[in-house]
Formats: sequence, structure tokens, C-alpha cells
Amino acid sequence: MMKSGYTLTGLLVVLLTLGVIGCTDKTGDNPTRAEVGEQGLVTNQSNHTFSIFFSTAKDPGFKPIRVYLPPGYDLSGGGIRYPSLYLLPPFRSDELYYFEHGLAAVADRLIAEGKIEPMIIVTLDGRSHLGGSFYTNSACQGNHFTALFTDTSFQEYAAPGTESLYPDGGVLMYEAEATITRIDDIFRTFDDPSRRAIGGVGMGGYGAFRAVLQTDLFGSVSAVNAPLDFDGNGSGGFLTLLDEVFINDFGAIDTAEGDLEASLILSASAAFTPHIAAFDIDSLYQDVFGQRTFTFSVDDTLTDDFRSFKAEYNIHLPYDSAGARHDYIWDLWMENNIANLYAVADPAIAADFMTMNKLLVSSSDAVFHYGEQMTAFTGFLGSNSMTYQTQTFNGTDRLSATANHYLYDLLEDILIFHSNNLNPTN
Amino acid sequence: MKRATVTILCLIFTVSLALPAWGGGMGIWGVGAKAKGMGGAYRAVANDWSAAYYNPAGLFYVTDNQLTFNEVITNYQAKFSPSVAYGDYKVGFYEGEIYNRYEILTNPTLGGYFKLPVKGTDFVTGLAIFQPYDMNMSWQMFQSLNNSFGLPGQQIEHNFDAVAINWIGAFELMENKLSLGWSVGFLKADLVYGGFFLRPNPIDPEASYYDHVASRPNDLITQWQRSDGEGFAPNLRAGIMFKPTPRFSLGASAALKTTVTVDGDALLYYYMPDIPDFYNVNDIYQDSIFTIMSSGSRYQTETTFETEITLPTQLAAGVAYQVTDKLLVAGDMEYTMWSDFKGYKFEYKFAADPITRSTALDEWFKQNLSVPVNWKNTIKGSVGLEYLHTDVITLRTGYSADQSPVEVGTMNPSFFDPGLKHSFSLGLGLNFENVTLDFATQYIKFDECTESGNVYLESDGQTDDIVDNIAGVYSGSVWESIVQITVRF
Repeated sequence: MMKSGYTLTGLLVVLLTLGVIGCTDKTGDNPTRAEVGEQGLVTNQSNHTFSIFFSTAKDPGFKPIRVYLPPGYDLSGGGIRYPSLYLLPPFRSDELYYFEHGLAAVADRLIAEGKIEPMIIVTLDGRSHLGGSFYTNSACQGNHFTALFTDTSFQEYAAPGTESLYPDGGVLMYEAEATITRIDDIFRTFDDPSRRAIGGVGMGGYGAFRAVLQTDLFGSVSAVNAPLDFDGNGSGGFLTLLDEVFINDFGAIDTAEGDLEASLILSASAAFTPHIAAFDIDSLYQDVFGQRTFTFSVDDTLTDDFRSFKAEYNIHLPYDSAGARHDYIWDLWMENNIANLYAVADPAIAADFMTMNKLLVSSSDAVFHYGEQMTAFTGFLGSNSMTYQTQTFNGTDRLSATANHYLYDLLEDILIFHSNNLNPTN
Repeated sequence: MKRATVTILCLIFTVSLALPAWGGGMGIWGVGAKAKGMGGAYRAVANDWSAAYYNPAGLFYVTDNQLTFNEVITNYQAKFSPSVAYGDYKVGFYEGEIYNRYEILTNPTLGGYFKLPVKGTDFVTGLAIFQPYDMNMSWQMFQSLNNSFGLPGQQIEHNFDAVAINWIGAFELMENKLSLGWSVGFLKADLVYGGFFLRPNPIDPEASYYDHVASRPNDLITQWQRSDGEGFAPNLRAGIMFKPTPRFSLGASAALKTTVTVDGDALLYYYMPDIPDFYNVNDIYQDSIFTIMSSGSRYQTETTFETEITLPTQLAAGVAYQVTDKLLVAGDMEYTMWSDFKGYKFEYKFAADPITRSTALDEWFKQNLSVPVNWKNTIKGSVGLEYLHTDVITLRTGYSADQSPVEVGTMNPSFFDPGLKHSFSLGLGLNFENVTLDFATQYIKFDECTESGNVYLESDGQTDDIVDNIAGVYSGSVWESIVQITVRF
């Protein structure tokens, strides 16, 4: 009886113990909804609008800029300095482009997670009246590059017959601070290339590389699906795009805004080969401001007469009416190719470019055949033993692999890359 | 000599609708402390009130009146580690191990039966109420990437209960050898299903503003719905018991497929992308598509719903052998045709008014949602033994292995049944003159199962472009303890 009692007691203890063990709460370590951390401040255009001065009056004089200030930025005027990152938008995009794709939220999260250094991020409007400035100085579209990166003064002649209205006999002097200088004046940034970076998507990536080859302002550069090698190793890139745009009839090019590829070619022509000669020439595309009147003709005698001239909206296309490449115009385009800009760069800048950290992000579905250009440019960097790193991204069956579609995800890689390269010099 | 009695058996159970006994698919792991202590190998035994579930034919051989009180305590610890990606990209699932909502579920049950001797033919009859189906699963595992509103507390909430109210009976074909039994009635089903759906952004890819409002992470829009309803369906079970010798018995039972139409109320939330820069620039009209698709709003509507639920045919058989006067061994096999169960298709009855202030996207907002499954038929095997240690103490133990009906590649935490389930049970019975105390503890272990990729399942031959599985690693266990007191008179 005693033995049965012990047996019974033991069995009951075992059963109860097992039951208790089985009822423990294991949800304590469950992941939970992320708390909204400290957020950065985004300044809008009403507070910080900077003018980009044009030598012509074709575009509005004021181009808005948007600035992300990291959490903890002291608006009262004191506080520490921050490194800065400039992000240039692609074709037909403005200062909202990166923010629409989640720049502020991504930056806030990465700073909170300790994955990037707190930084000031500047975005701006890269458009022109034809869609995109390509961040160049152009008699047709205005001096976007100078306005952004170069403190400058320049002169302009008054229209004939109006000289008496101006001082100095009709010679107009303009002085303008570069956008980058204005940013450094207003915000607590470092005026130090090692603490300043630049990147861009598409046309913005081209602008970023152009900036690092024509200034000594930046310490790292990135580009996503950008036109960095115009002929894509000789027969691709823009050449492929030009074939597609002019495939049917050179004279019947669809220049409506809905034709994205044609608009890009017109913008690039305005950026790289504006008409600056003082005589009527063929191979000319005339766009009267506010109208769409186009005529074409062919001229093989165009020379590079850069006599000062207040140009109209005339640009030269790199193809003729027979659909053949216009070599002279195309050569002018190629002078703007990144490889050529490197070849003619200041030796010190060229030397820095060799070792500067560069991030190239590309995909198979890049628009405008930029994927071919990225591949070719990677080859150029590799064959010249330059420092760079590459990254690819894929799409899904629902969303093709374009920079626009996946910028939200790419921003994390871009910000981390630049943060890792924003190294203090002291 | 024929038994000149009509025995009326009244089996009365008070069954909580939260009966925590979810088993394979949405079936339960059996009823009763004695049966569970033997791993559920009870179809050739079926010698107490639980025969109404295991094998109605066994009721004929119950010789005394009984009153039973039963308390079941259950805690199931389902574990899930999401690894969801659409292409190479995250969509908002938490990272790390997640356990389902912690609950200690208790279910008190009171039952019994008694005989009323009436001169007549040889059969027994009565009433039975029991719960053959149960699912109870709640999770929090997701945060939308493009909307600051959080999903409701139980982001996934799946509670399905089906209670059978059956007329039962049994009669003998061969004296002391062969009996047949039936359990016929209706099933009352209660369904609460809450879950979130990642729906493709409806904006036309050719629209000029498509890249502004439908690029990552706004290519997917989160919608959450909770449907709460009930329905009724016929329920039919039958059984046979054959005792070729006094020590050896064979039992078999079948439950037929039935379809229940559940209807009730539904609450739907739509979590629209939050794109303040686009919204602030383009917010011309509150009713515009621009506003709807970039405001970060949470739209809400209440409506009614209906869905059909098909519950499967189940065939089972068992053997029992009294090895010695003290030792009984038993074994069961069950075959459940879970391929008949197709999940849920919620058909809403929306009002005519648009859900937002615009009719532009109303068709998208008023789309029916479905939770389709692609289940397969399953086999479960059980073995158990009962040992009369003394006149007072009875020991029981059992094991069962139960296949999962869920096809790999189609798993979803709301229908949590990954991998093979191994069940181990221990039981103890204390027999006194007119009172029996029975205890059982059961541990069910799910094999770990890894789900990868995204699958679009069909509902009524169509897909809705919503991924139906959730990739990740599934595992878990269930602990169940039962205390039962039976008074015989």
C-alpha cells in the first residue's frame, strides 16, 4: 500500500511538472513593431531656395533645393558640423525625387541603427525646359554646372540697341555663389572634400562623375544606371538609343513630352551640342520657346566657332536626315564623355579620381540603354586600374529593375557607401 | 437472449468554443483523458462516453451509467521565423523567431450518460455534443514599410470551431461480437479570421505618375480584414465494432464530408502608401487618385461576408488486444481527406457607396479576398497501452504520428500545421469504488519545416495576384493536460 502510494505520488508529480513546463510563455523575445525614432528635418523650398543663374532666360531663374538635416541638428546655430552628401536626380526629376522614394525615412533609420554617420543630404532640381540639364553649362539650357559647383562671375552683352540702358556700355557683370558654397554658408558642413560626397541616378550619376572630374570638391562618388560611357564600348549606349529614336524618319521624330527617349536625346543635345554659331547652319533643330516647331537640314561644314553669341533654342542632333551618325556632332558629345573628361582633367584631380572610391550600381532593365554604358564604364575603370566597386540589383516579375522602382532599397546601399567614405582628414 | 431494453444515452457536454485541442489540419487530437492517455488509439476500445467521437458502435458495450467532469489545459507554442522576400526585397515581416500569442486555454467539460430501461429492441440511443474541429492561432509578425498605422493587435487571428450536436445510437448484430453505431446531426461552425494581405498597387503602369506612387515599397499595399461569422451543416459519423474473441476487438468508423456556409460581419482596413512629398505637391482634390495613393491614410469599411468551408471525410480503424488481464494494447489508423478543404474565400457584400471619396479605385477596394490552401490527404497512426498496475492505479501511455495536410511550398502561419506531428502521452487512472480519476499529459512535437519562395494559389480556379504562402521556418509544440473525474452509478 505504501509502495503504491509512493508510486502514485511520483506519477502525479511527474504529470504536473510536465504540465507546468509546457505552459511557459515564450513570447517575451518576440520581435515587435519598430518604434519611430528621432527623425531628421527636411527643409523645403520656401526656406532654402537657391537661384541657379542662366546666361539665358530660357529656364526659370530659381531652382529649388531640398536639404535633409540629421536628427539632433541644432537649428539654433550651435552644435557640431556634419559631412554632406549631394544627390543629383535623373532626367525630368526635381528636388523631391529622392524624398518621394523614402530618403528621409531611410536616412533616419540607418542613423538610428548606427549604420551611417549623421550627414546633411542635399537634393536639387536637375530639370531643364527640355527635361534634363545633364548638369552642364549650355548656351541653350543655362550654366547648371557653374551654378551648382563654381563660384563665378561672368559678363554678358546686352542685346544690340539696348546698350545704353545698362552701365559699362552694355556689358553686364554677374556674380554668383555656387550652390555648394551657399549650402556650406547656411548649414554646418565641412568645407573639406573628404567630408563631402556626391552621387546620382541616371543623368544625376553622370552629373556626379562630371563634378568629381571638374572640381576638387568631393571625396567619393556613386552612380545608379547612369550614362557614363556614351558609346558603350564603341557601338552601344547612346548610339543604340539614337538608332531607336531615329529609326523611322529623322524628320518625323516625335518630340512630344510623352516620348521619353526622344526628349532625352533633345536634352542631351541641348546640353552637349547647343548651337552657338552666329550663322544659320544645317543639322539644326529649332525649338522656339513655348512652341514646337522643328526643322532639319544637313550641314557638313559646321565649325567650332565659339564666338560669343546669345543663342536661341537651337541644338544640334548627332544624326543627319539620312539616319547616319553626324560625326562632328557626335564627337562633340564624346568630348563630354566621362572617359574624355578624365583625360583632359587637371592632373591632380585625375590622380584623385584614380583612387577615389566609386560605387556603380546597375541592373539589366536600366532605361535608355544605360546598362550598356555602365558595363562599358566599368571596363574603362578596370582597364585603368582605378578604385571602384560595383553592385547589381534585380527586379521581380511585377516590377522591372529600374532605378526608379528600387531606389528605396538602393538608398540604403548608397548612404552606407558614402558614409563609409566620408572620412575626416584630421 | 435479446436484450429487452432500450437504453437511452444522454451525453451532455458543455464545450467552450475555445476548446484548445487543435490537431492535424483543423481536426482535434481526440477527446477524453483515457483515450488521450493511450495516444488516441481508441476505436477498438471506445468503452466510455468518448465513443461518441471515436466509434459510436462501442456505446453498445457500455454497461453502467456515468457522469464525467473533464478539464483540459492546453498551451501551444507555435514558432515561426519569417524569411519573406519578393525578389530580393523585404516587404515588412519581422526578423527573428516569433511565437504565437501566449494563451493557457482551459476547457471544462461536463458529460455523462444513463440508461433508461425500456422494453423493446436491442439498441441504444442518445444525444452527443462534441467538437471535432478546432483551430486557434494568433500572430504578430508584420509592419508595413509604407504606412505609419500599425496593424491591429492580432495581425493574424484564426479561430475556427465546429461543434457537432448529434443523435447517436448503436445496436448489436451478433451477440457480444458485432455492433454498429451512428452519430447523426448537425455541425455548428464559428469562424473568426483576421489576416493581412499584400496587394499589388492598382495604378496603371502606363500612368505618368506610376513611378511616383507605385515604386518600392509602394508596389504593395497592405490590406487587413477580420471576418466573424457562423454557419450550420449536416454531420454524419458511423462505426462498427467486431469482437472475434473476448480479448480481441476491431473497430472502424467514418465521418462524411460536409460543407458549411459561414456568414457574418467583416471589418476591412486599407493602408495606403505614405508619400508626403508627392501628396503635398499633388493634393489638389481630396477625392483624387493622387490623394488616395499617397496620403498614408488608413481607409476602413464594415460589411458582411459569406464563405463556404468543406470539412473532410475521415476513415479510421483500430485494433485492441487484452494481452493479459492487466495489459491492453491498441492501435489506430486514420485517413483524412483534407484535399477537400480549400481554405476560405470571403465574398463581401459591400454597400453601393465608394469606400473612399472617389469612385476611381472603388473596384479595387471592393475586391473579394481569399485564403486558399492546397492540402493533401493525411494518415495518422496511433499506438497505446493501458496497464492495471493495481486495483486502484491504471497506467496509460501512447504515441501517434500524424502527417501534415499542408503541401510544402504553400505554408501559412494562420493554418499552422508544419511537418509530421509526433505525439507522446502519459496517463494515470485512479479507480475507486464508484469514482475514477483520470489524468493525462500529452506532448505534440511538430517537425521543423522550411518554406521558401512565393506561391500564388487558385481559389475557384482563379488567382488574385496575392502571395498566399509565407516563407520561413516553422516549428512548434503543444502541451496538453487533462484531469477527468467520472462517477459511475
